[in-house]
Amino acid sequence: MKLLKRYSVLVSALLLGGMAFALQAANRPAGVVLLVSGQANAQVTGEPARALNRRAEIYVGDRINTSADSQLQLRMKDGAMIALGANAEFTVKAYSDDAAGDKKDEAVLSLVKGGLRTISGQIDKSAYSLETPTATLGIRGTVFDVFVKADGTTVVILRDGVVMVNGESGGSQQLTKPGLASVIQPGKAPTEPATPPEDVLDYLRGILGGLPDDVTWQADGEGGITFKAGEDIINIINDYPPGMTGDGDVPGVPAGGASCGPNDFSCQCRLNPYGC
Amino acid sequence: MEKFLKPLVIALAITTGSVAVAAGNSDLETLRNRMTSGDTQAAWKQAQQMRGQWESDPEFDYLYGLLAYDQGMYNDAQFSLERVTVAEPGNVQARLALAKSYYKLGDEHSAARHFEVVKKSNPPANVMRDVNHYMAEMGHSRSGSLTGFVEAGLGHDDNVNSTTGDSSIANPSYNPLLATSDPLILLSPDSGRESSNYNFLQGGLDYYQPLDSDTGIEASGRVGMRHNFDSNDYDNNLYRGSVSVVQAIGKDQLRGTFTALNNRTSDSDNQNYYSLSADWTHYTYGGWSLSSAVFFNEIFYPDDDLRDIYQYIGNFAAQRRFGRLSNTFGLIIGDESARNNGGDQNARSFTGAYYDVNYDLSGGHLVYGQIYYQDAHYDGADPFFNQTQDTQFGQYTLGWDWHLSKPLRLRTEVIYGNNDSDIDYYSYERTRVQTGLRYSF
Repeated sequence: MKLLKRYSVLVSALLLGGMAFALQAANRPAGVVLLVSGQANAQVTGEPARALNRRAEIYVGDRINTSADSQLQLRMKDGAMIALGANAEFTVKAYSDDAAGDKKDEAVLSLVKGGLRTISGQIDKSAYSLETPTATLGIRGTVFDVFVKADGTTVVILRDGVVMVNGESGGSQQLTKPGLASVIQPGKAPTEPATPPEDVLDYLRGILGGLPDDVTWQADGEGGITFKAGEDIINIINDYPPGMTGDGDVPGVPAGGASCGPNDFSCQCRLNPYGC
Repeated sequence: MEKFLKPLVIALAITTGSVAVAAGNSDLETLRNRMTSGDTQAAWKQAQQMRGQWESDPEFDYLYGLLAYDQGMYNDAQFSLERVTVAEPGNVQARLALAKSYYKLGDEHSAARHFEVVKKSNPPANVMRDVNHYMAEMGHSRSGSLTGFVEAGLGHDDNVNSTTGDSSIANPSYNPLLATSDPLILLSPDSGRESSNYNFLQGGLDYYQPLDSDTGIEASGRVGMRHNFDSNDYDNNLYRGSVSVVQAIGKDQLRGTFTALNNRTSDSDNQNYYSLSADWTHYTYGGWSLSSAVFFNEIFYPDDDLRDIYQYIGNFAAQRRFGRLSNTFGLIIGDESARNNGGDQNARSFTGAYYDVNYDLSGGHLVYGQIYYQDAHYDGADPFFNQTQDTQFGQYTLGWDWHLSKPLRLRTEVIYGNNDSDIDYYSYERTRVQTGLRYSF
């Protein structure tokens, strides 16, 4: 008893350390949530479900669910991006701690239902696989969409790169042409690449692509815009000449003298007072 | 001891937190500055370093999205900008960039949906034109866009005939040594300065027809009518039409325009004006827009063909927006030649400079100002005063534009002009105050 008392601190420390190690091992971070619109939660088997918020961590073993009208965007440890649509169920089965792009890498993901769009990250492409009820997908540096219907039918649409589609019931297809899809129905081999079904496209367009009914082009700091988004900065991607408007009698351009274009000399009778 | 330590620890924590926030904001500011100054490579490098900590912050995502687009990484741009548009659905600028990303990725369906939202948001003209080009390229909108306005208002003009207010002027022929003529010339009271209240009605239509992603045709028409209440003369009707061909080449735009104008004073043809012009505009990353134009104009006066002239004008202008403040600086050089023998006294050589500024006060209010100064030298001697005229003309405008609702705005402005000629008869001052209600569609 005396001995136990003497070493109680040490024993407690060891126990706590052991528990922490066990928890850490169980909850190995695989990524972080960048955006949640609506409701989404994650759950590691045997633990309570966690509501996902912005910047929440995702762990290896997490089963992630999104509810109706919800969307989720994740950044995985290796830099991969995943956007999940509404009513989706997605599991991170394995994800290497150290995604070095070598043979030790491992990334096994599973989409049980719903759809996602993803850009692959640094993880070694040969170590990457995405499982669905009817197929397993391998990649070669890729952006692609996947949609799993209620009956397990999987639709894979290539955006960029190459995707290998291996049917659970045999057969495979290689997608190399962006915009084309392969469909894998239960018990059947993947179809030849073809134009994706419209209903699937509609779902995928809804992933983080919702549209507001009515918005107005606002100056910086107005209309719920919390930062400067205006001309100075948007012009970074201008492939049109900005701001050189005519009389200003077009939407958004102020009337009168304020709107005279620099080359518009008849504006406000500048050079041609006779014309006023 | 604890009594002293507690506040110290709290103060330290607050200071550390403040420093961290300030450092973070400063990172974002540095990134933004690099982008606006055109150093997009350095900005992209910095953005990638900041990504782990800042990703999912809407402002960072927006900047990152633009940089990714600039780097040709359209998938990254798409993910980033999608986050911004979900977090801030009213951010049309982000939606525009997102639509362009979809377009670049070949997802024309999504691009068109988002471009439509941008079009409906009442964006600036240049953005509208840009979107129209994309829509045309995708075959979604080759029908072009029609916009227009109607404006009615009232005003007061203290010098409707732009003449001197003096009852007598110095006689330029007077020689005090010889004293063969009068030192002053008395002016007839009938030809003096007239002031009047007036009403005005004006309208315009602009049509833009994209032909492909880089080319389009624009046509515009203007009608203006002014009726003086207190003067029988100088009522003024103006009709103007123009057709342009627009060619976009990267960040440059070239445009060729033909303009015709008919100006009727007191219901008689006072002036006809035909113009051929070519202009070029270019945007630089630093935020400056540069432009230049050349004009060849023919101006006819049906009642007095000695006033007919050919006019050649060149100009250069720079435009820059600083947040809510927009500035335009311009220089003009021009030369005129008489169309008919004996008309040299009506042709000038001139140089001018202008500065336009407007400031968006928010809440639908915008104030604006213009300064225009011109120095002119006439080619021939005035036949009456036997002197070649030099003039300095200045015009100053101060205005306020009040956006009452989406299509409706109230514009109020004061315009003061001063023509200072070395022949007193041609010197005058003129002030107009006017207010008008404009409906745009």
